[in-house]
Amino acid sequence: MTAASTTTRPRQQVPPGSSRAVTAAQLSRTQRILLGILGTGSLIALWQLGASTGVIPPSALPGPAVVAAALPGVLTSGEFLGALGDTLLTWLIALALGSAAGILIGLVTSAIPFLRRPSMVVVNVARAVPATALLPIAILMFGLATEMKVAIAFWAILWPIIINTSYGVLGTEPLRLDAARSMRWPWWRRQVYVTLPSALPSILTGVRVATGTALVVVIAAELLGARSGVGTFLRLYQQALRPDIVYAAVIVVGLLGALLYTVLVRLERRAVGWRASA
Amino acid sequence: MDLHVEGVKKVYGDGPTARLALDETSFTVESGQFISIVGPSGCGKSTLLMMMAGLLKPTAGGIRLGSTPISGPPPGVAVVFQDYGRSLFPWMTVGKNLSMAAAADKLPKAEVARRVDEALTAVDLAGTQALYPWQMSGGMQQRVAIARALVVEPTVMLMDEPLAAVDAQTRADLEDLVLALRDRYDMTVAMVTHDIDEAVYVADRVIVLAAHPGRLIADIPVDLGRRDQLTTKAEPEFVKRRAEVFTLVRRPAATSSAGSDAELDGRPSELKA
Amino acid sequence: MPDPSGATSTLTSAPPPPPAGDKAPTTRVPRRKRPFGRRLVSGVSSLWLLVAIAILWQVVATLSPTLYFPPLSKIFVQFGQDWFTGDPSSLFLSQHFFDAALPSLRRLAQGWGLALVVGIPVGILLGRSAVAAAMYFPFIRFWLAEPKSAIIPVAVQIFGIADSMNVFLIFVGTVGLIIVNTADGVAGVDRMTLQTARSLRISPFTLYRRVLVPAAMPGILTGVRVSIGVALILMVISELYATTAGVGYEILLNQQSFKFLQMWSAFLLIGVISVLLNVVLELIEKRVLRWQRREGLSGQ
Repeated sequence: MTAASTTTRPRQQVPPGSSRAVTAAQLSRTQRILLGILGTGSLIALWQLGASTGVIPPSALPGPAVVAAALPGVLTSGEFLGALGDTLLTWLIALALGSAAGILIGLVTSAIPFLRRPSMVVVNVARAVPATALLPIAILMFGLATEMKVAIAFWAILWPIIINTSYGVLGTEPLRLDAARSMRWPWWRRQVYVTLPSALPSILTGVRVATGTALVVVIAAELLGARSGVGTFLRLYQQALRPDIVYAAVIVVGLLGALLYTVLVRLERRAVGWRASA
Repeated sequence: MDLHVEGVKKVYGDGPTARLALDETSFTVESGQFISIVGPSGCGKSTLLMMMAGLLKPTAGGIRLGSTPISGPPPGVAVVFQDYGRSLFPWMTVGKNLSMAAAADKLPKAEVARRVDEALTAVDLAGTQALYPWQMSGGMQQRVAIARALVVEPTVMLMDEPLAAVDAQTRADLEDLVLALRDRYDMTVAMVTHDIDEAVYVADRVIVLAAHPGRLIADIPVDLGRRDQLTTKAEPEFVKRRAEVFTLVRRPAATSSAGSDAELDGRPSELKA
Repeated sequence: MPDPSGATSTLTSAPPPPPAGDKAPTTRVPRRKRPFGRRLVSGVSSLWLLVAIAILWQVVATLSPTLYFPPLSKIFVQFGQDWFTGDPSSLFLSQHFFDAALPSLRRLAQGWGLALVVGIPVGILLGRSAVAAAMYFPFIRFWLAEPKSAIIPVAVQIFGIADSMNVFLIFVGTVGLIIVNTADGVAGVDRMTLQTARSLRISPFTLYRRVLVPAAMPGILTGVRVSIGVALILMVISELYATTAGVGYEILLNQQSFKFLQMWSAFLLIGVISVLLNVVLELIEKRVLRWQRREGLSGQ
């Protein structure tokens, strides 16, 4: 692949947190795990200290013991699990639809020269308004059901996926396309066997970024009115003045997010393994 | 089949920014001949080769393979690109890289498999089908790239500085490999290179281009018989032809910067020896 | 899910430079700088799709009027009336702009500014110390993966419906991104550069000021750029969820009182603000990185 990493190059969506350099330091795996426990423990201790000295009022943030005590209840409550399932299903549908549409549009618009720049202009205009701002209009159009959540999350992730797809396509090594042409491959075969695999790393990065965006937007939609989902659950218990349950749920959602992210990174590595040493 | 280059000219761009890359050039490569094309940077040698491959359209003139004018990549013509790292498909195994090369020919599966085996054996890489290109050394990858060209059993093989990116020892081996393959597959070969030793060593004929604008300035026959890395380069014919090409290539460069000398000279390691 | 950056920059839509090798024996025609007139023509011609969509919207909205999608022309007129009826002394911005948009921008500046002030030093620290990084990265990862919208009820819980709630949310939503990217930039500083710097026996302060921070600048700026998109998203959601002023509140109010033209005009305002912020950041980034490159050369 090309090493086009100049600063002036228009950028893809690159997810941060790929902190290879930091963690690849001279620490062993065990050391890192122990230090991680120590560090996280110190934060929890700080939290406990704040709670027991009364610096943090319990109504704002109950102590770690209180929140931990609420965790099992949250994890076994049908209400929470149902809401979580609802959110994840919505998220998955939006992600599948948004990725499919975004990749397709990205491939088509960048394969056809006269559509390339005009479509990028449209994409950049369309995504200037944060998707969450459009929630009121989505609610007007789709009501408070799942369709509304899917629609808004779809809108939010469509543009970054189109952009990443088209950067991937435009970054295709021209020499490989020449090689394919010299082998007399027809247009479609060049697209499927050369352009698409070349663009894949960039597409997958786009999809990974989109998973985060989609979850944020789905939960935002639930907070602002949707009838079911984690956001709805959180809103309900915040209004019912049960901060312990709210915090427990927030922690579960965060851990789940981290898990999903890790899985995606693994899948991505497997899918573009050839890239590592290329 | 003979390859006729007839009054070919290439201009990049148009209007005030147009640049003449190659002025009218004509020559014929006879069937079975091995020619090398040399010249300084910017002489249009790669451009010429890409037009012969049907990958670039000449601005004027035309190229014929036998009696058929070339208007796109023609069947029976294979291209080996300079940079194997950028021309192989890293997402395909070696076997897939090779078998896909014959995709346009719609051959039976067994025939493709046979050809892939044969091509890999010919470049001394039998049994590497399951590897990915990036698991191999540079020299091996370039051999894969050459094998990929062989899969279509080409009558004409066009090579664009195929050995520029490998080390000196590998390069000497590959020069002999290319010569052996020419005999084995009975091909017409045109090879672009900036290495004068190499140009004279492998070819029956050296086409010399000059730069600014790119144009043909000499067509030098080389009569060497069987090549051998040890003795050939000491033969009077080799020394004479090498000097001849060297003078021709250097002449325009001598008036410009001296910086390009390194590129135009023979390999430093060879000169020391 | 670390990066809910639905609205980060990339406003320039030029394709990446052709990744041609030095001699470029490919079939691509060499790219050259074209005369200004031609570039202008191609710039205008790249707008045709946008214009076509705008016309389509206008025609459809005029022919079959729906309440939710007013014709574009009316939206633009409303946009002008809403925000740009002020005096020249206030840059033509209307009183309504100052009432509605200024609170949003103030919260954005406070929350995001605080995130920069806290995030960059913490990031440098974590980038310099492998031990500190190993200790706190697990939590930061978790924090990045937390969908920030889920924090809103928590923020309301803590601060009630007040400006500090929005500021807090923007701060916690962006600080992690800035920390991680800064740490990445700092940890990625070439070891040779550091050794060279040490061999010159410069003071630690100078080391940070002249070597580490400039070398880490690309990473820092990535964090800045990615986080502004997140900051905007959070600014809007938090205002939609609970507030008494701001652009998000404006949108909600207009929706609830069926003033759809005003609602669209507020969408447009957010879009314009987001584009302007991104353009400014991009300019700053270009500037700063150019300086950094020169600095790198003279430092050697």
